[in-house]
Amino acid sequence: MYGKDNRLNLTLQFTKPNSSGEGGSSGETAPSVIDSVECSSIDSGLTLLNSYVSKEINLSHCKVIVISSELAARGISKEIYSLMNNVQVRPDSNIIISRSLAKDYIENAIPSLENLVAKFYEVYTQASEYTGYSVNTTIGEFFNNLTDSYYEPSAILGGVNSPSTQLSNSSSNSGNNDSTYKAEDTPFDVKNTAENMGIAVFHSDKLVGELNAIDSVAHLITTNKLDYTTISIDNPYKDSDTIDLRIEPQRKTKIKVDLVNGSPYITLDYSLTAKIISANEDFKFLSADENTNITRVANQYLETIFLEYLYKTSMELNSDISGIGKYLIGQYTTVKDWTNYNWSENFKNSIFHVNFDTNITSSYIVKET
Amino acid sequence: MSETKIGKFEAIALIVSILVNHLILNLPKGFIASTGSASSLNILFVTIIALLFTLLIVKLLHKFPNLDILDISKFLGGNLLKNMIGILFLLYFLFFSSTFLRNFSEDLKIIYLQQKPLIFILAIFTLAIIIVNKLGFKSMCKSNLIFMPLVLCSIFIIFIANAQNFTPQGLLPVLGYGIIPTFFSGISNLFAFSGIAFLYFLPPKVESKDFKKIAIISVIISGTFLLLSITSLLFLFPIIENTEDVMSLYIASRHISFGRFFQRLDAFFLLTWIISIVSYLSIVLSLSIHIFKKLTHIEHETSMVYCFGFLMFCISLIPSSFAQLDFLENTLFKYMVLGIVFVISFIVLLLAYMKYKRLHKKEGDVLV
Repeated sequence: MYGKDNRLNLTLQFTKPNSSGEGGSSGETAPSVIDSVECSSIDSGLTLLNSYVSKEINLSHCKVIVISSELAARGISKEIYSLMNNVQVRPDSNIIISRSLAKDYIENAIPSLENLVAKFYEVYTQASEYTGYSVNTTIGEFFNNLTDSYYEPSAILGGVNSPSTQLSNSSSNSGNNDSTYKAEDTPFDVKNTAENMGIAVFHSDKLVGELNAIDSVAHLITTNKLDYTTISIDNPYKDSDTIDLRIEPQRKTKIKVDLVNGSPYITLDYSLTAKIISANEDFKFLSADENTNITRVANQYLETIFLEYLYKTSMELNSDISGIGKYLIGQYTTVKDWTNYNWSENFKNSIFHVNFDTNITSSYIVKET
Repeated sequence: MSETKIGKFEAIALIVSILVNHLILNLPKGFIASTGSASSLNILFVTIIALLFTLLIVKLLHKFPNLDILDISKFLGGNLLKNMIGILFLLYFLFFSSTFLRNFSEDLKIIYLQQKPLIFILAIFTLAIIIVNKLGFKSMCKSNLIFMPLVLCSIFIIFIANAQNFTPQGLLPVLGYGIIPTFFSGISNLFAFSGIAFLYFLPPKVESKDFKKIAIISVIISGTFLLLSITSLLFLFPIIENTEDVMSLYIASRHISFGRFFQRLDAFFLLTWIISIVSYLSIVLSLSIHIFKKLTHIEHETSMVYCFGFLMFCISLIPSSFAQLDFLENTLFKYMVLGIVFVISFIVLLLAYMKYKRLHKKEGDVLV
C-alpha cells in the first residue's frame, strides 16, 4: 500500500493458480501474479480488483501486509482497524513497513530458497528468531499494541536493497560493524532485492522512527523474544580486530520501574550466555583471565548498545515498543490512576540503568590453539 | 419433558451448559466492559456469592423434595402464584434463548456464512432444535453430557494454547475501574450464574440425595471456566478494548497455532460450539414446554414442540440490529435474570419454606 493524494495504491501478490502443482523441476519458483489498483480504502480496492480478476479475492491466506513508510508516517489506524475487522485476515499475518514503495517491495521479493511466494513470506519473517536483526510482528500484535496503554506498536522494517540505496545510506553505518544496517543499507551484491532489517517504530498509529539491526537485537532481548544471535565485540588482545560471540538469553530480562520525582527510573537486568565463534592461530580465550577480560568487553559493548536503544526509543522517539510500562502499571490500583499518569507521554523522561551478567561458557569445536 | 430421573452428571452438565454457552457468546466481554482489569477479582467475588446463594437454595429446597418452583408456588399462593411464576419463567426462557439464538446466528453469519440469509441460518437451527426435542428430555441430557466436556475442553485449550502470548499484566491495575464497579455494581454480574434457574426445576428430575452435590459442583465448574475464559482474554487483549461484536472466545481461538503445521483451529472450536449450542437451546425449549404443560395441563407435549420451536424462531427475528440485541442481552435480560432467578424465585422459596415450617412444626417432616 502507498499513499498518494490521500489515495492508496493497493497491490496484491498471489501464486498463480495451479502453478505450484504443475510439472517442472522442483527447484523452479512458482510464478506469481501482481495486481495493483489506486483506491480510497483497502476494501474498495479489493472490490475494484474483484471486478478485474476472474476469481473472488479472499484474504484468508494473506501472509504479509506491506505498508510504505510514507503512508505509515501519516497514520495507519484506519487501515489496521479495517484489516482487523475483516474476518478473513488472520491475526498472524506479518506486517512490514517498507522504506520503498510497497509495490516495489512486493515486486522485488524474490523467493530464492522457496518455491512458493506464500511460504517464502512465512519463513522469511521468522528469521528474526535466529538473526535478531528484525522483529516478527503480526497484525494481531500490532493491533493490540495500538490499543494498549503500556505498549506502542512496532513492525518489521523492510525495503528494496539496490546499489544506489546502499550508497545513499552508507553514511549512517558506523565503521565496519555488520549489525548496524537497516533495510536497504546492507551491502548485498545484488541488483534489486527486498530485505527486512531493523524495526519500524510507531507512536500510536504513526511511524516515528527506525531502528537498525543491533537495536533490534537489544529490543528482542529486552522483550524475551530472541533465540540466539551473533554479535561482534572488540578483541581486547588485538587492535582493529573483533571477536564474534553467539549470544542467547540465559533467563528472562528482569525489569523494574520506580518513579523518582514523577520520572520513571528503569532498571533492566540481562542475563546472557555467550559462546566464542571466532578462532585463529593464537586462540586461547578460555583461560580464566582472558575469559574475564572478554566478558568485561562484552558487557561494556552490550551496555552501550542497549542504553543507546533504550534512550533512542524513549528520549528520541517517545515510544515504549518494549512494553516497559507494564512493569509500572502494578503500582496503580485503578485504571483511572494509571490513565492520569499518562505513561505514553512520561516515557520520554525515563532514566535507564542496565546490568549485564554475561556468561561466556565455551567456544565451539576448537577450544585452544 | 418426561418425569424420568436423570443422572448426577447429566444434571451438572445441564446447569453448566447455560453458563458455558453464554461464555462462547459474549458473556466475558460484558464482564470486562463493566469491571475492566478487575474482572477476575469480580468473578471470584460473584462466584462466592453464587455459591452461598446456591447453598441457601439447596437448604430451602430440601424441605420440598420432588417439587419444582411451580409446585412450591402453588403451595405458597395457589394457582394464581403458580401461573404468575410459570409465565415469568416461560417468558424468560423463551426470550433469553431466542435472542441467544439470534446473536449466535448473526456471529456465525459474519464468520463463515456471509452470503447466506440470516433467516436460513435461524431456520436450520430451529429445525435441529425441534428434531432433538422429539427425541425426549433424557436423550437431550445424555447428549449434552457428551458435548459439554468437549466445550469445556475447548475453553481449556484456548487458555493453554494462548499461554505463550499472555501478558499477565492484563490483570492490572488490580481494582480495574475502582472498588464500586468491582464489588458493588459488579454484583450484577451474578447474572452469569443464570444456570441456577435450572436448579428450581431440577428436584423432581434427580435423586434428592444428589441435589446438593449437583448444585455445588455446577456452580464451582461454572465459576472456574468463567475465570479461565476471562483471564485468558485479559491476558491476551488490552482492556481498553476494540469494538468487535463477534464472540470474544472465537477471537482468542484465532490466535492459536502450533508451529506452522497446526493453524486455524478456530473452525474446529466453532463446530464444537455449534453442536453444544443446539443441545443447550433444545434443553431450554424442552423446559419451556414443560412449564407450559404444567400451567395448561396439556397432555401431549410432542405437538407443542413445533409451536414452541416456531415461536423461538419468530422471537429471534424481532431485534432489528446488533444494537437492539446488545441492549436485550446486556441490559434487559441481565436485570430480568437477576430479578426472576435471584429475587422473585428466592422470595417465593423463602416464604414457602416459612409457611411449611409453620404448618409442619415436627422436625424432618417433608412435603411430598
